[in-house]
Amino acid sequence: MHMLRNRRIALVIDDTEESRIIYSAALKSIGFEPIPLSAIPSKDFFDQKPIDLILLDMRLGPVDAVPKIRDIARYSSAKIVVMTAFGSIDKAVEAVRNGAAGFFLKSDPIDSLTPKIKALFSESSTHEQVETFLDECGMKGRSKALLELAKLIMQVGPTQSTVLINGESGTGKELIAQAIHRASGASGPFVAINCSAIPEQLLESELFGVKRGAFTDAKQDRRGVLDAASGGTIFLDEIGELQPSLQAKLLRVIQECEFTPLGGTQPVKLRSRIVCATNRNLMQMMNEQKFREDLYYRIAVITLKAPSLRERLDDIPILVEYFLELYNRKCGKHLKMLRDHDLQMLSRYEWPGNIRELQNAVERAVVLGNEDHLSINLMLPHFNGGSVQEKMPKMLARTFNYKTTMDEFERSFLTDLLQAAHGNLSEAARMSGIYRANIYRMAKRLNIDLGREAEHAKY
Amino acid sequence: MPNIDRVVYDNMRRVLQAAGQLEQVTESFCTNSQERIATILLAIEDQNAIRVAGIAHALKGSCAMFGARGSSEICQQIENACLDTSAETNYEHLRHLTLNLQDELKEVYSFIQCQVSSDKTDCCP
Repeated sequence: MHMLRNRRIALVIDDTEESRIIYSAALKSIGFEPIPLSAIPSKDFFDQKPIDLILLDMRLGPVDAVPKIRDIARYSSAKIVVMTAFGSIDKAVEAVRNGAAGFFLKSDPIDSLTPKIKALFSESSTHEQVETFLDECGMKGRSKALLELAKLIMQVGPTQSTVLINGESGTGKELIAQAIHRASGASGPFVAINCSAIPEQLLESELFGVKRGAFTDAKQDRRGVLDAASGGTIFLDEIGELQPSLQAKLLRVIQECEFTPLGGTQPVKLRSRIVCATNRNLMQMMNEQKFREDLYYRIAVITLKAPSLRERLDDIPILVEYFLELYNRKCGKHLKMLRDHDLQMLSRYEWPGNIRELQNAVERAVVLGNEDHLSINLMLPHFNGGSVQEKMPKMLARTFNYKTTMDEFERSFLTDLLQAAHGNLSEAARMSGIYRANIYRMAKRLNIDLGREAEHAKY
Repeated sequence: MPNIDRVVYDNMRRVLQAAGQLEQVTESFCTNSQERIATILLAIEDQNAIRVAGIAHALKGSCAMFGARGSSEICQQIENACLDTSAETNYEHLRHLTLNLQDELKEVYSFIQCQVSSDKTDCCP
């Protein structure tokens, strides 16, 4: 058993001497007893000394420390905070996924490290803090994917780094950007602009502002959103749609931290944090020369992925309940929650439009609903229950005979597959990863007429 | 003037001053970074891109802590150039970047050394 100690012990593991000294001094100033080391110690070391905190450089000479985090967590309950220089943020995010409690950018002021460490050791548990944070931000759900995202937002919020949010349409990227703004503690406003919704010429004046007389209609000075968001966060949605000429201008703004309004001569200092979002693959766009590489690296110092609804199926009941209450109130109705069986069915649907699709589905079902309960048929009228996933429970409920169940499964699978491949066997083979010959054999064994199925699939 | 993030530097300076270690760390940074530059140049001669990338990465972290943003960015460029698998490593370009880094760091050294001595003599703004 460990003895009671007055001071918490922290390992400062970094292969450069100056880092060890600087971080040790910072930790000492908040009451830790730092032990500087140039490499990760063995398990024996942890057995002999109770360690509370490990400040770990992500790269120790040639050694990548990130995979070691899981090992350390196996024999020590110390909280691990990884340190990295800019340009390795993805690795830092991976470290958090591996179990690190947080990360720190060496390019951030050292003063911002100590509050992070203090917060880790504060009385209330991290989990509670994350849940409270989600509630404060209006982010509904408690799935693992959402909790992990919230933890990352709480980590990156207080930094000044640019953030790029990637994610499919309807995943709530703007809500994530607002959460980053909230976590930043910035006193200025959150200002959002959709780069695809505004014509190029207008977008430039919206971003940078206009000086009186800049063009015929410019009767007076007008502030741009970059200025309006001063002291806060500017959120550039659909950044992948930004035209090349504006990409160059935005790059200059980020590089030089200043911009000049249209028709103006005096540059204005940029005092807002930039957060961007896209559902496009910017890497691919860079390869196709459609998005500037230098701009990408400037806006994507930190990248966050907005999880699709498929990755957070556990959140569906909470989300349905939330939207049901919202639309009941709007429509003056009192529909009750979906029945359990229908609720389960929702998790078998793919939700290509993500939360926005779910929201629309609930709204439709509330507006059109006349029954006591929310109706899945009104929510998803096109979801005909024809998928294998939906048929499975019915089959399993009917028989426990293995061969019959497997035959029925394969029949259903093959029919669905051919339908999805529009009757094209090569496409079906590609989609399923099954050789064409084996598809033939399966169809023959199950007495499925491939010609007839192909004809059906066309309609 | 070197490209220094004053907020980062002043912050670090305050913490180290309080601990009475500013001089020690400044000296350590200057000595170690010069050694690293020399090692990078040797590794370039040996055409060992992995080693170059490793040292540039470590140096990038040290520079970042001192707020030496310009130097840190050059380190990043060196690292990127070494790890770029789409093209053969251009060692001449790496040498050029490293010499740029050396020049930038010289300015950083004089800035931070001046800051340290200003505590005693007020020689710097």
